[in-house]
Amino acid sequence: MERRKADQAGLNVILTTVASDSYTWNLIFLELLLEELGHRVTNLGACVPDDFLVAECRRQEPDLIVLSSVNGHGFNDGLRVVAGLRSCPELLGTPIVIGGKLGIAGPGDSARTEALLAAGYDRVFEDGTSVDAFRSYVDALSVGALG
Amino acid sequence: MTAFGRFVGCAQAAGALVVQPRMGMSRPARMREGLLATRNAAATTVGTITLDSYTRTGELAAARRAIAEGVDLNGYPIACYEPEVTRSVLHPVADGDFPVQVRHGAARPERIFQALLAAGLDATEGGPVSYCLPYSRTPCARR
Repeated sequence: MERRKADQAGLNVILTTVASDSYTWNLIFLELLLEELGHRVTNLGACVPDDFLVAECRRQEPDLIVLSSVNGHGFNDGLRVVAGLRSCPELLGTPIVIGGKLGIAGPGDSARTEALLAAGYDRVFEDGTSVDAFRSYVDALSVGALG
Repeated sequence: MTAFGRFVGCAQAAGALVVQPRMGMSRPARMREGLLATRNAAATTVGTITLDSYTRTGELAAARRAIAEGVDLNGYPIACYEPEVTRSVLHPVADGDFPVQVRHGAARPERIFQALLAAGLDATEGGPVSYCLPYSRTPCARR
C-alpha cells in the first residue's frame, strides 16, 4: 500500500493506549475526531503491549503517534513507552503525543508534563481544553507548519 | 452463599436499596478509610475493593515496582500485599453487616483469587469471560 504524503491527503496516525489501560471510549472518540479532520487512523485498541506498539510503529512509520490513556497510569506507563519508541532510529523524528487522564489525582501537574516532554513526547494534552489544543496541533502538523 | 449474597438478598427482601460505591486505593490505610466511610454512610451500603490495572492485567511485577517507587495506583494491588495487610484493611470494617466485594477486572484472575481468599474475602464481581472483552486483549480460549 502506497503511503500518502502528509501534505497531500492527511496524516497516517497510529492511535494507541498503554498496556494496563482497558478503556476504549477515548480511543473511539479520537479515531472519529482524527478521521473527521481528514486523517487516516490505525486504532490499536485496549491494553496495547509495548512490543506490539513498537513493532506496528516501525512497520507503518506513521506521520503521528497518539497515545491516549484515562486509567490513571498514563504518566507512569507513558514514560516507559516513549523510551521504547524513541530507541528505534526510524521513530526518532516521528511526532509522538500523549494525553488523557494521566494520573489518578487529576490534571494540573506541570512537573508531570515536563517529565513527559523530557522523556520524548512532542506534546502533552491533559484534561480540560486539551481537545482544542490537540486539534490545533494536528492541523498545524498536517500543513507542515511544525516542520 | 457468601455473606455478600446473603446481605443483598436480605436487603432486597426488606425492600431496601443497596448502594455500592466502587473504589480502590493503592495504599492500605486509604483503602480502609474509604471502606469505613462507606460503611458509616447514611444508607444501606456494601463495600468494594477495586483492583489496580497492573494487577488486573497480570503485571504484578509492575504493580510491585510502582508501590516501591511510591507511584499511586488506580486501585488496590491485593496480590502484592501479604494477606495480613489486607486483613488489617478489612478488620473490623468488614463483617456480616458490611460485606466487601472484590472488583477484580481480570481475564486471568487466579493469583487474585488466591490473594483474596487468603485475606478472608469470598465475593468477587464479574468473571473471566466478561473480563476478556472489553477489558483486555486476552482471547476467551486462552483465559
